[in-house]
Amino acid sequence: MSGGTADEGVATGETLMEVDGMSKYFQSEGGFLASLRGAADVKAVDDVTFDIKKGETLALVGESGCGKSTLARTILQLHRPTEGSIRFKGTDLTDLSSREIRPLRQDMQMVFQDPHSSLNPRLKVGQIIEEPMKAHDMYDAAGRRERAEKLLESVGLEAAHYHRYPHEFSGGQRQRVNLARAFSTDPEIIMCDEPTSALDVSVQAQVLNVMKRLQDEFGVTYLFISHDMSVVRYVADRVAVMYLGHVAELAEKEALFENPKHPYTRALLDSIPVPDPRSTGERGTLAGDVPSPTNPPSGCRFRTRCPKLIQPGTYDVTREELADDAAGAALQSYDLDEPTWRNVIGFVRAVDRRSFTLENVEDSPDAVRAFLDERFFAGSTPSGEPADVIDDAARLLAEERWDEAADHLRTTFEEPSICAARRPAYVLEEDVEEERFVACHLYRDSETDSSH
Amino acid sequence: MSNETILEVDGLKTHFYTEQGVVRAVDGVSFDVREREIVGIVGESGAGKSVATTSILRLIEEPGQIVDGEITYRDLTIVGFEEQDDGTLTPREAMLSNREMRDQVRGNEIAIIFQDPMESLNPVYSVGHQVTEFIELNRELSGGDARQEAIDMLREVGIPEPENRFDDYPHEFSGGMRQRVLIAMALGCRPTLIIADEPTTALDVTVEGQILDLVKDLQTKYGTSFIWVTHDMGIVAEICDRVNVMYLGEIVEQGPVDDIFHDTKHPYTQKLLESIPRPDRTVTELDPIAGTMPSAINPPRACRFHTRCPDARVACTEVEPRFVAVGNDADGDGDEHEGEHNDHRTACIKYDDVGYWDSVPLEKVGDRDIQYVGDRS
Ligand SMILES: Nc1ncnc2c1ncn2[C@@H]1O[C@H](COP(=O)(O)OP(=O)(O)OP(=O)(O)O)[C@@H](O)[C@H]1O
Ligand SMILES: Nc1ncnc2c1ncn2[C@@H]1O[C@H](COP(=O)(O)OP(=O)(O)OP(=O)(O)O)[C@@H](O)[C@H]1O
Ligand code: SF4
Ligand code: SF4
Ligand SMILES: [Mg+2]
Ligand SMILES: [Mg+2]
Repeated sequence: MSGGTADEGVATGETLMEVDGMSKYFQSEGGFLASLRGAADVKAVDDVTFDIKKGETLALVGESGCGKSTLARTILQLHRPTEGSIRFKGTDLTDLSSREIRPLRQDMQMVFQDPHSSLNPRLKVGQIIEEPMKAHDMYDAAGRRERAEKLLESVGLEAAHYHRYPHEFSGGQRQRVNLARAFSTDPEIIMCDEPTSALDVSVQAQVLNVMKRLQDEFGVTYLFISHDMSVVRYVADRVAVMYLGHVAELAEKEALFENPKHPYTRALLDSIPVPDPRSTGERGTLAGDVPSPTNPPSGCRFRTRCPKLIQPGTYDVTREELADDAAGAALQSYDLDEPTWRNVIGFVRAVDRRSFTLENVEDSPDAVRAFLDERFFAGSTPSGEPADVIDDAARLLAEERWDEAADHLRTTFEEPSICAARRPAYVLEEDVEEERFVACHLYRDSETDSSH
Repeated sequence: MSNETILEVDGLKTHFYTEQGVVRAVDGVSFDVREREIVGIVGESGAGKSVATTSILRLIEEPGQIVDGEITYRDLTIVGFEEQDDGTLTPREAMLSNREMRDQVRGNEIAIIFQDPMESLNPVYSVGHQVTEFIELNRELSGGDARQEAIDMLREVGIPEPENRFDDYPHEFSGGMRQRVLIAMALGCRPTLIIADEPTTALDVTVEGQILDLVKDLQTKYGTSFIWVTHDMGIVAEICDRVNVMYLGEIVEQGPVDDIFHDTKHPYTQKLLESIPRPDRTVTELDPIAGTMPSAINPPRACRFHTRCPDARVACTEVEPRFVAVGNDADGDGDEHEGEHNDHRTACIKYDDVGYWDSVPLEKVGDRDIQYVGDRS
């Protein structure tokens, strides 16, 4: 039965959940046959490692499609991981059969985003809340009812609502019912997947406050998924920022917001419009799109958009480390000064994204080159070998061979970068207590604990 | 800011005649839009933002009906009524016919962008086809010229390689790109005013940022005015010149964006601002508005916010608040003069001389709220 249930309590602040090297790949659309034909898998979550501590709220943030929901569902074994282990109170869930996991679900609940479709419309609110208790054989009928009524009050509804149906409640009230249901089995951890995203701000604030109160009352641990950095700042103790299936940064909340280290974290924070017309900080814009999770960039997944991409040659990279399609790249250091390097990489991306047109430019290589100089290299233009590469690109562009130009530029300037060659993962010691994980090579030299 | 007023909405009422009763979705709303400005409409779900803005283009469908008010665009009467001898209201003769709305207003003067681009784009036609068709319908361009214009517009809104993406279908575009396509279509007809109904709500914050930048650029370039519907106070703060705060079918406060945030007058606006978690600082305790917005079928009498307002007194349940100017001292000389005002107005009797301060405070907000929930069911 509950074979592996390590029931000895975990003290607040101790590790409750250990996620180690966990990946979840989905077979691409078209399923097995498509994969035989070589269609790549969707790497929804790819080799992530972190802990969740008892009693904390760990927030998981990131843009749509970065793998947040998949991560939570995989931890709960609603998806079986492609790789890695998930230890809950010391027990590796991946070792257990579905039957062996069932009793453990009492301790691990989930609350979903949509307050409308997540409640069975045919059941009364009381029955909905009692359902998980029944499934786990908790209490007798009278005990369950008593607990349901008490929980209704804990979430800010009334015991008298026990007999109502979901449709009689507003979105915010339904989300309270969802919370009451999740709390009914007295779980250790609740995965909350965008629990307030569908709610209005005033109702969202009510629900967030209820969640905080319940945490104080029951000492529960939350994994709180959100794409809203402001909400995260309100509820979280620690924050994990995800990008394209990887964890980019994981830090204590205040440190993350006040001193973001990963360029993606910074970009995400900079792009939020501040609710104050007198706010002096300029909002930043992150250009480009998130690449496809079926064919993610090698090395650092953020490198196709990162404003801080490290120049090739800054760190030694071996040929074996290069991505397959970049095997021919020259491992060379051009030692461009910073402004010139920024211009170069701006140009590489502009070609890649085709964000400019040569329509009004004569289609001779010289005319194109002159246009490029003015548009991309005003101020500082490279000389020597990098200039030759840009000449090559100008020639290709003049013949409208954009893809080839983009390839040529990328293999020269991006692929040999350590950012493309090696996956970054550094643990920094913030102070004596706090550890910080930053998946960015800019922190290569500040790593204090290389055991990661 | 002395730009000319281009759109005036005055006392607009749009109601829905449903089986449950008359939904007073928009119930006496007045605001205006000037040249080259971005006017925000904010408020929570169900406040009437979409109904108010779709009324401007007369796109209200059954069982909805514009029942009162005036909407004037430059010298065109979009909505106008006159009272008959028996007291009923009938459309005035000057009011544009449906045909005139289509030919003279929609698209070429006022364009609209909806929240969900998938609803506005037809999944079975290519994106390029739809943009071209839209341009042909609304401008005197056809064939190759319309196609070229479509490609140019797509490029302008930042679709890479528009020639190559021209024949792609909407589902092959990301959410942000689809929203750009709608902006391209709206801009394609060079309208004077664009109504944007939560155009970025479904998008990630990074993509939203790209769209906001785009809109600001295009606005500078073409001088287009915008009505921007949103519930995001961050967006309001960033792009709006003036703001209208809606609650349950009414505008409760309107004014320049700085006054709305820094000289907030209406208790609803105040509570709304206190309900939002901040990205720029850590808030330890949010103080949300109690309860939820009541139904628009039987809205609370007198001040509609009185069931949730922390400042409510008995007078608030008796006296219908009217708009009062609360922008003091517009010339900044320290005195308030006769006739001196700016655009800041609010509908709360605290700021009027109708007996609020002599009246007794209402009982606890929670109790009031439960009472109303019961009344409705
Ligand atoms: N069952 C599935 N089969 C195939 N692909 C999937 C499946 N579930 C998720 N994906 C893909 O995995 C990636 C991660 O999806 P996931 O839902 O975890 O993202 P998310 O971060 O929760 O996004 P959102 O903020 O939109 O909810 C996406 O590319 C998604 O399309
Ligand atoms: N077709 C309809 N039939 C009946 N009632 C309607 C209809 N359309 C809108 N309403 C009602 O009118 C009121 C205002 O709705 P509206 O869509 O304008 O709100 P909103 O402020 O745009 O909200 P949201 O932020 O959710 O978009 C609501 O009470 C809504 O239920
Ligand atoms: S590793 Fe390189 S590309 Fe990735 S975030 Fe750091 S600097 Fe940017
Ligand atoms: S009129 Fe009364 S109830 Fe309404 S907002 Fe003002 S104080 Fe509150
Ligand atoms: Mg999700
Ligand atoms: Mg709406």
